[in-house]
Amino acid sequence: MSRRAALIRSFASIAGASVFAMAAAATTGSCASSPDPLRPTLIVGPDYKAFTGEGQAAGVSAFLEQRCATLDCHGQVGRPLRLYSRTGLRFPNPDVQNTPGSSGTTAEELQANYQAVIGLEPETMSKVVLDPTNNAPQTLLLVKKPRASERHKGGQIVVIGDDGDRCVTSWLSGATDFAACKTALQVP
Amino acid sequence: MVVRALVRSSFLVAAIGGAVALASCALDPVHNASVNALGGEINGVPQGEYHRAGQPCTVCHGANGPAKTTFTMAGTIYYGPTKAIGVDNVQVIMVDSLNSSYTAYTNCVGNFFVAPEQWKPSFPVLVKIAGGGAQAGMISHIGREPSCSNCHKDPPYYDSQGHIHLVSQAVETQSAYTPPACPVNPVQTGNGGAP
Repeated sequence: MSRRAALIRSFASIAGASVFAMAAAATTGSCASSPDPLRPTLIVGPDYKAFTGEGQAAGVSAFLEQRCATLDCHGQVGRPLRLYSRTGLRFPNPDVQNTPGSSGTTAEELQANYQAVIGLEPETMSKVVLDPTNNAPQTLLLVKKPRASERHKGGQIVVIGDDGDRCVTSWLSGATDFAACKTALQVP
Repeated sequence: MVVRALVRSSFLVAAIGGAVALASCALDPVHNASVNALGGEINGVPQGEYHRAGQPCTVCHGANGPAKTTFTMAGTIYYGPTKAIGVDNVQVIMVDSLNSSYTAYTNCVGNFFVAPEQWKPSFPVLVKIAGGGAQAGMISHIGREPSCSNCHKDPPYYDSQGHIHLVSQAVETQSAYTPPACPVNPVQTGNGGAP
């Protein structure tokens, strides 16, 4: 064996061993690493005022309350998307003791509704809010489920482009169509 | 010989199929718990149109049984909000999302029920009730629940408005309802439960 061939062979063995070692280390590292419990998860939500409808005839919550929040659907404590409303489930505040139909939707109920909507898919929601051009609202269950493009026990609630659909998708895109939210309320 | 073997095997298949079907009904622990939570029949109130007023009818009269008959909509209508007195001959007017409508009538304990052959609504459904010159409407729609009392249960709480009533508390106080002759007492002492 020439000296050159021996050098090449030893280099090849060292390179191979190095690659193997690096791969093993990476594998071990990925398995052994534990999530940092203190690491914050950045959640960027759509406009809260537009959700509540502050200063407008109707906001996004009003539409969700009417169409989704009945006691037999999302007005149930067991639902991941739990929605409170004037005519449905009330926030269990012992100081107020509201019952369905007793008074308007309260500030704490609106806040809880907002948190429920954001909390459904927080990471995807953040992407949609930050860059709706590259992350379309229809990637969210909040849009897919009522369209019935994803299995929805309550069936199809909106048609693509109708007032209810525009109310939600425009809000997610950062330019809430309040007129659509208001018109959507006219459907019982 | 071959025929006999075939007959025997088909009996076996049928028996296994039946057993699986029965077991699948009985093995749903959530449904079983819902049925058991309703308790037994009340003494003096036989099974039939007057029984279990105020209870969620389709827990038993639904697809999962155990009742033999199924209802697409069912419930109990009471006279006023403070006392659970079933009210007779009230119209329960329902309209579904396809604009199909059906009117059911309550019996003397306030019960009404709709069989699939009478009406199969396409949810959501809007409802109003009318009788004796009074009427009341449900503000929100029914999303998919065929039993009124799954939502309208007593006492009123964060998740329930209480039982369905035809007249307001003011009217109930001013003019008490006198139930007609009925095989079963329409006055319930419990909260939407048994008489």
